[in-house]
Amino acid sequence: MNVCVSHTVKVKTMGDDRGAAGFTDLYREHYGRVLRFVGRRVGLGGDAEDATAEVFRIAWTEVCRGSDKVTLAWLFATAHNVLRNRYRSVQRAGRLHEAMADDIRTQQGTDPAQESVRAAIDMLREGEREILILRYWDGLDGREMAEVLNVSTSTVWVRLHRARRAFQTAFTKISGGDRAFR
Amino acid sequence: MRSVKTLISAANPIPEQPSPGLSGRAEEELSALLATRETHPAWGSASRPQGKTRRMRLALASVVVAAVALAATSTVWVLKREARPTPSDTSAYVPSAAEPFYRDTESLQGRADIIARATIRDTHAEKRQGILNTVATAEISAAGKGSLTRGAVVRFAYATPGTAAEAPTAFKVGGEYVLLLQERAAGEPASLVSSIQGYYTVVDGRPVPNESNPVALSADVMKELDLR
Repeated sequence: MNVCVSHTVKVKTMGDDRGAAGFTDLYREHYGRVLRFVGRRVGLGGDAEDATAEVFRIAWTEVCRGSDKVTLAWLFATAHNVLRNRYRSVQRAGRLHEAMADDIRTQQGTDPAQESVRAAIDMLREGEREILILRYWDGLDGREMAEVLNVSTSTVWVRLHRARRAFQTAFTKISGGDRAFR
Repeated sequence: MRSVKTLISAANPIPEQPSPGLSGRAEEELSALLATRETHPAWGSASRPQGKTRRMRLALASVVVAAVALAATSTVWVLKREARPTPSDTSAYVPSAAEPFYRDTESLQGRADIIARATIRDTHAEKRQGILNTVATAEISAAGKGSLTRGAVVRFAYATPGTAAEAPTAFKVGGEYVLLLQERAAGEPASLVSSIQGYYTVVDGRPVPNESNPVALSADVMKELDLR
């Protein structure tokens, strides 16, 4: 199954076990995706698991109230808000990398090219950084990014375009003036 | 030739991967959530057992489940209020999720490299990579944070009002403001920590925040900037 496809819980009959079954399916299908979404921002570990648990507790309450809005995009938006409340704002990539440094080294070793990319991301404004991460690390589509950021899809693409330009400029500086982008 | 997508995607610290299944902790949390359903008011009677069996099961389960459910639902209620703004919350403040929002003075001021009281001397438009920004030049009259001192000049860039979803007020030449700025690379203009919370207009010696900014400056900064 394509994990990018949103999954809506059918909760019209919450008085029986079907709602619980729908939530269980949603939980099993998307827990990992939400955990990685959180992990990219705070590092994998206890904090990421705590925040992910918080997201699903909120989702469960929504389901119990009979809401049918709990989709994958809704989970990402809730995770985004949970992190914002926990950490006040999405951390700068550099600070984020401090938390994730061990994870990265363990999983990928130290790659100078990738470090340059992360350093370039770190130089961006928070909004630019976030939309690039949503698109290229989290793999969200336009509608999902719009829901997470609470803006229209057209605004998403404008911001993404600007963020890409800003990244090109930052990366060019870091990598010594090579502007070969397409 | 490289694409932005290729470069950034390759640097993903935690790539997507087929799920190996839930961890032990995740399984336990799922079970705990599902265990709360019988005590959740939204659940109908169809899930409740009947007669003697029902009473026995309720009696046995009530101590554990009720305690867990009470704690969980209370926690969820609090967390939910924190995590998803209610309509009344959003009417008080409607931040764009792409724009950093600082809930208190410490986090707002902590994000700024420079906090200064300054008068705008010049503004002009600059277009870089097709993006229209306004660059303002401001003369500092008092500094509350950072290395710049009275008399220094600082440049900062912001989205030109009307060209972006998030743009601050149109700074007026001659206008006096408290600026909260983040420094950028050498030679580059600084940026506001937030287009909404990154400035206060000084009126009669008092800092007036943007109407959507509920955060006040600290007493120390007020004193340093000679504000009332």
